[in-house]
Amino acid sequence: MNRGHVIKELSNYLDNQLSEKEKLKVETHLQSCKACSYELERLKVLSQKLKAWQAPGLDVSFDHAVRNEIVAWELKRGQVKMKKKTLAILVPSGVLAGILVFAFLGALGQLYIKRGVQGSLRPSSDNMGKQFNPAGSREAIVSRRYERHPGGTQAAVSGSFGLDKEGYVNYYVRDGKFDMSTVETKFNNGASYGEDQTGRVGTQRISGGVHEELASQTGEGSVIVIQPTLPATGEGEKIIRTGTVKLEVENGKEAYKKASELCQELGGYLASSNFYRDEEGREAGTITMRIPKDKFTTALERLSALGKVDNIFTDSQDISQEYANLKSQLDAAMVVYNKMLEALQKRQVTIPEAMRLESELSPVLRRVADLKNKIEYLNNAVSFTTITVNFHEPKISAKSLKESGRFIRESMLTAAVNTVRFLAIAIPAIILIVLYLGVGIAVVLLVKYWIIRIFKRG
Amino acid sequence: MQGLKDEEVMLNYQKGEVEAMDELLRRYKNPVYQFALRLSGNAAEAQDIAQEVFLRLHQYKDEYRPSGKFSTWIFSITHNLAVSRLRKKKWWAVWPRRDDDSEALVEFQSPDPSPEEIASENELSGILKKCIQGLPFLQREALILREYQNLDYQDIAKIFKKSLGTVKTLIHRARQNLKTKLLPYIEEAGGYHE
Repeated sequence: MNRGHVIKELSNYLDNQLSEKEKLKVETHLQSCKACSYELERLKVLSQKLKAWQAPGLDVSFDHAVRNEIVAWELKRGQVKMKKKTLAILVPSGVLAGILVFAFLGALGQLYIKRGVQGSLRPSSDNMGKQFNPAGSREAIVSRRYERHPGGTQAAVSGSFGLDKEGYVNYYVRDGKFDMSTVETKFNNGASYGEDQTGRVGTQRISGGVHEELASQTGEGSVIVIQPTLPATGEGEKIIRTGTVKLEVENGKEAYKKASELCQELGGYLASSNFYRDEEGREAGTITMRIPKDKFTTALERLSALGKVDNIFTDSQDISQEYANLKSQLDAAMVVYNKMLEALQKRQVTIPEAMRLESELSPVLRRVADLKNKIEYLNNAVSFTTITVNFHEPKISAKSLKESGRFIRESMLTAAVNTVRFLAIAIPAIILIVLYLGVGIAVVLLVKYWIIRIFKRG
Repeated sequence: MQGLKDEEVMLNYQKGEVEAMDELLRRYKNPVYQFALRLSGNAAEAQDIAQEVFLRLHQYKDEYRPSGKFSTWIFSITHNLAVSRLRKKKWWAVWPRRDDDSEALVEFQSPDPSPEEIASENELSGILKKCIQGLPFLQREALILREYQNLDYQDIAKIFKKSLGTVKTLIHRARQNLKTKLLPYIEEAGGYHE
């Protein structure tokens, strides 16, 4: 064992960290080497001197401080645990609640679509009718016009319902008043209901000027069945019918085309039409068509099938009286006219007398022509019903979604191309920057290393 | 509780015996504090470290396994905390570098006491303190654990998570460095007798 190796092992020998074999070798060497023995002696003295550095101890206040720290930490941990627990409860609960609400809304939506506009009925402020308040966003206002009929009973003779695509509307009756809907009724020929002077609620079928009570029930929870019938246009009665259908359609152009074709197919004609695209690019329009009176209901049903019905509004105006008056006036005018004409034809009259008779005849003739025109106009109005179709595309349509999807795909493609272009430019620049930085850091480290070396040597 | 080994006391604390902490404090608060004090040279900081060591001991009590010595475990915690604090304070000074040590050692050097300073120190402990503080960090720590805590090299290697050879080298170099620094004073005081 050489001397250098032994000096290196002296520290281990001093601390008794050598194996027996190594220890023996060191001891053998020490017996023959004074320098190494001296070195060992110095190390022993050093070790003894080191014991002179006595560090103070800690008093009992340290124990209290540690315990306080532990308690504070436990409290904090408890709070964190509590928070985590609360979150662990709240988050799934929130998610579950969200799912339930979503499912509930979805079910409501399904029901809404299936059963149509639903709502409650409540007395209007003038107590003349009922307001239909839609539960959803669809507009469905029931309007009623009441007239006094012989016998002192108020009855609805015209009205309209907010209906869904299939024309269903539902009602509850509570305490003899309309409250909410439960019963479904098909919109066939129009519907009406009335409230008589005793406040009783019932269903009445209005046929011309005659009304007939179909059902009348009172009491909480009782239900009335509304059997809708439009005012019939019997012999001698003249009724002008109008209808408005508001639709949400997927494709405005297609709806416009189909409505026009339907009008033609039913033997009607387009009175006016308007087609436009709104600011958001949605197609919408209005078509006013004249349809033969016997095709009125068919037209409404088929138009409703063109899209999702927002609202159907029908109205009837009984002009029988007006028509009869005009007819009477025409008959009277014709009597006068015929008599005057007969007088002219039968009698020999002088020229001045003839001129006077003719001048008297002219207003009568104009009156007859005027009355005939009015009657003709009314006949036309009665024989052709007027239906106005308002249609619009939904805010989010399949078409706009498709366009949005295409826009997104194009945007993503553009972004990807731009990213690749950017990377193509940026990567070499980044590599250069990293290289410069690396060189800079290496220089700084070298300088630091040399400075430390210089200080150490100094 | 007093007759139990350190490991058994710690296991009792692990099981929930609050009194075990009192016993651990009684046995280890001073060694841990003195180790931290000799390492940092600052009483307030040493107390903070010691306090944090016992807090960690509580926090990680469930992770304690009695496979090794309890003293090794608690000094490992102290070592880790001291290194962590040192890095936070002067990260640039503890940048790993290879100079005289073959291993990449984490070092922190206090300025060496000048001969004037040494001369002005009346107390030997003061001089020792200055000289020990002047050692590189790991040499200083290894020397303290060996000389003051009486840990054997194996335990120190476990604390440092280094090889036994590294620990031997560290202690050897620490003694050589210290010997060089203290030589003028010791010889003057007649410490060596040829």
